[in-house]
Amino acid sequence: MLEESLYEHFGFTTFRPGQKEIIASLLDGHNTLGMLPTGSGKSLCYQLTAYLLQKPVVIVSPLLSLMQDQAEQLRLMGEKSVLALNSFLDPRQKRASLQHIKKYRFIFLSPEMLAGESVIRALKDLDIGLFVIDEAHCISQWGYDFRPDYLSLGHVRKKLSNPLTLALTATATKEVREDIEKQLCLDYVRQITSSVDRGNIALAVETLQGHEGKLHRLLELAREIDGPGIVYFSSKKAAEHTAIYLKEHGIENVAFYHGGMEQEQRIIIQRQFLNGQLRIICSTSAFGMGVNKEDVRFVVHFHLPSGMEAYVQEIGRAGRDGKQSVAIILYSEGDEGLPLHLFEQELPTEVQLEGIFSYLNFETVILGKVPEAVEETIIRQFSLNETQWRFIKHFIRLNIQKYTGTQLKDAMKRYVAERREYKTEKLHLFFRWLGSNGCLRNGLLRYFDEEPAPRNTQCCTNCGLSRGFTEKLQVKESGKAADSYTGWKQELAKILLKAEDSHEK
Amino acid sequence: MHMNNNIREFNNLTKVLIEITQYVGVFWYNRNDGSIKLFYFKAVISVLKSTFLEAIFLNCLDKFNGERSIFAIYHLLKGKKSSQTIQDAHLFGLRKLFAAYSAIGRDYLDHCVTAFLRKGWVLPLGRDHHYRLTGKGKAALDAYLKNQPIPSSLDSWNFNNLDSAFWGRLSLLVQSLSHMIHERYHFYPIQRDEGIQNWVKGFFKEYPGSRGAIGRSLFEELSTLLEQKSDIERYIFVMRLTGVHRIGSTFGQISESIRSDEVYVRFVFWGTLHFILKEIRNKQENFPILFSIIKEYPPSADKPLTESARLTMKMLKEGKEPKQIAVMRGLKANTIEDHIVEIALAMPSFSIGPFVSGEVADKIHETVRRAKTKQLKIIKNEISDPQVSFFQIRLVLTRAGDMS
Ligand SMILES: [Zn+2]
Repeated sequence: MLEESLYEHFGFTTFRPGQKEIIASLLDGHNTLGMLPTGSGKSLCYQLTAYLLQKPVVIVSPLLSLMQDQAEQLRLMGEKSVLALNSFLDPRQKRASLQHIKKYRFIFLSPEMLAGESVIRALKDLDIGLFVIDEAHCISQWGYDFRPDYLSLGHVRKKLSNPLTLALTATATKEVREDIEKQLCLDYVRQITSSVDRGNIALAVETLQGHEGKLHRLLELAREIDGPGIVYFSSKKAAEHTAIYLKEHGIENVAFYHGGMEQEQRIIIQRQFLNGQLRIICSTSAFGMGVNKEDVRFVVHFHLPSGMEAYVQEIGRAGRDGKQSVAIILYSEGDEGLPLHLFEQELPTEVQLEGIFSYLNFETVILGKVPEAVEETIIRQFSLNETQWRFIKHFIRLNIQKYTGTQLKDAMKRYVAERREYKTEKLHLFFRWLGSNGCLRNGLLRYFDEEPAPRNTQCCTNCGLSRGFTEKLQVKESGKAADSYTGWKQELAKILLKAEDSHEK
Repeated sequence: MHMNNNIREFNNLTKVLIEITQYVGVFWYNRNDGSIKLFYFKAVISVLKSTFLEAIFLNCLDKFNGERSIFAIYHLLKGKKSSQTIQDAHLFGLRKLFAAYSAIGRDYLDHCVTAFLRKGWVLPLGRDHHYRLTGKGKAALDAYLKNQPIPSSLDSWNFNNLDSAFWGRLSLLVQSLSHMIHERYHFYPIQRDEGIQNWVKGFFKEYPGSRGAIGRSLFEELSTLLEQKSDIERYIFVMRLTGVHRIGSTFGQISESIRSDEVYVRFVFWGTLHFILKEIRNKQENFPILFSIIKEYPPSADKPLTESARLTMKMLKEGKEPKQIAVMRGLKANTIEDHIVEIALAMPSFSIGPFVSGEVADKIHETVRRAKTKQLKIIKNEISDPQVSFFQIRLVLTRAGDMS
């Protein structure tokens, strides 16, 4: 019985929707694509399978922080044989880890680690029980978070003699799921998808007057709702300023979080939030991945998310404990410009491409691999951002054998145009949903080609939410205010001495 | 939050708002045709900035006294590993600030200097980007430092790499101990670096004794050290620590709680760490646990060299002449001389005798005293002996100690 193993290893008595089916499918030896909503215990699928198969599991994860979070959670459960291989290890640490790779049950890798021969060699020596691709939608060019270095994973799988594979994702439309299968060269895949719908999260879109209007509403919400919450912004500055604004207006335990902060300060904020010392985080989308907090009661989008998929991911950080929660978009007219603009910047423009190719033709020799100095010149001369340049390099590397010169340029232009059109269309679908009068939940489900959900009581603003319902959201405990500071020595004693000892001080 | 009265009194300084005029863009999306427009308008944005950092800039301008450009300040605080910057740090008595604030931005420095100029705190000199402090500027500096002095124990030259390594290990060790003592065995580590985590695991293997006993000893060691510090220093240090009852605070949170400048809080914190490091190095036997954190790091008398200077030193030790080394490595003689100056600064025991005779050294010393300058050109002119080279003057200056 799978439930018995579940209890033995994790202390749970029942599976969440989809988990059991995915594990059973893997145990039957089927390559499996699992789509489970954010916060529904995706990682348990490979964790329990690892214990049952009694073989090492290799997990490819797109983001360092995500990898660290998952490795940390396993260790926290008492699992000792966890290895996280990433480019931040120094060569000595890396060599040592690879030498002892057989000791580990869970091996986390970033895709760029798989480009190294030594890593592949070490992995070939293993009897890999399961090959897991986390956030598998990153492999698809149609996914909302395309990562070109994921494209090599199909090839890597072959080199490792096609191990049993589990592709996991939280949000993927049907075409993205098909693309995942194709790119990973998976035959006979069993797809197990559970609905993207999270019934306990009420969906709200509120239209307000400009930035000021939003600020006021946010302040109101922060006062009304007792529990922990995350407020998303698309700029670091806005996140910082709003955190300060809230504090100045009497909201306690607020902090901002973004990628521009030092690592140590970021970890502190995360831990404080988990620990209940902070209640509200004003953040860019950098916050939340892998932050396993059960009782987040609300997620606010102060700026629009970058699309429907990102929206679903981000609101999925609310209500993991299954209790009533709410996701609120604060909208004011014209807000659509920001995600459109941000997406425009992901891809090079036609003018940029023309320029770059005339430059590269001139230096024909370097087409395959671009030297650093040339790279710098190109980036500066054609004012490319990092994402754009990374995209161009990957495209060249992947297609250099297929096309030459102008052909390559035309292929890239075609590709960019196609992708731009596709994404624009997707964004407009999102905008249309935003402004629609129909049920927001069903609209969301339609976007992911799912059947409408049965109506629940707190559904969405279009179906009508009960007045003041945000005030009634259940809170586990009223925030753990840090004990007051009574003196440095008392504080130090609280940390390092047992209670009976510290009384003497 | 309750606070000691002393701390409150100490921090009557608050953050200052600086207004910067900037262009801000707003995107406007038209629902009907899906078009997007971008409008720019001029806006006044308030930015929180550090008054303490201004004091640090003024302090550097004061010490450099117009003999270096403002970029020397930037390189100094960033900790640029070039002979020039290292030499400046020594020559102008600014070693404690070497690499003390690597987050410094060039724009912000520029911006502050412009503001100083407007307030009449600095005087522009003939050369670009060279300024001298005016009387008014000196008074402003004194006023700053009276409220928020640069911590006397700050010694970034000696500890700027060791301090973060020490803090990483100490903070995780304290967090782990705190949880174990209170019988909590699972927690999210406050340090993510695997090297740090492995070190802490190794520590507990090496100290098999009762966790309670280790906790008591560490408490005693830290108390002994903190007894010697001021209230503000203790407060900041203790609040940074994470224990079983709370996660430690960020610099920003501490600065809010005492209504002080965040950069100042950082400097005080690092100053306290430097104090601890110096003490536990000097009195190892009194601080066995704290010392075990850094025991594998070499004593700080000798500073790390740049890779290239290290090679030069190796060749010097093999008995090669500077000119020979330059030829063999295809470098300019100047570069090798830079290396030798760097070595002389990094290693107090390195003898400059082979490059400067005692007689010439005395002559240089005498001239520096008389001319009251550290500008090489002036010194050389004063000596008016073509046999004495710039290289020799620089070398002798390395042995003059902090001559300010
Ligand atoms: Zn509805």
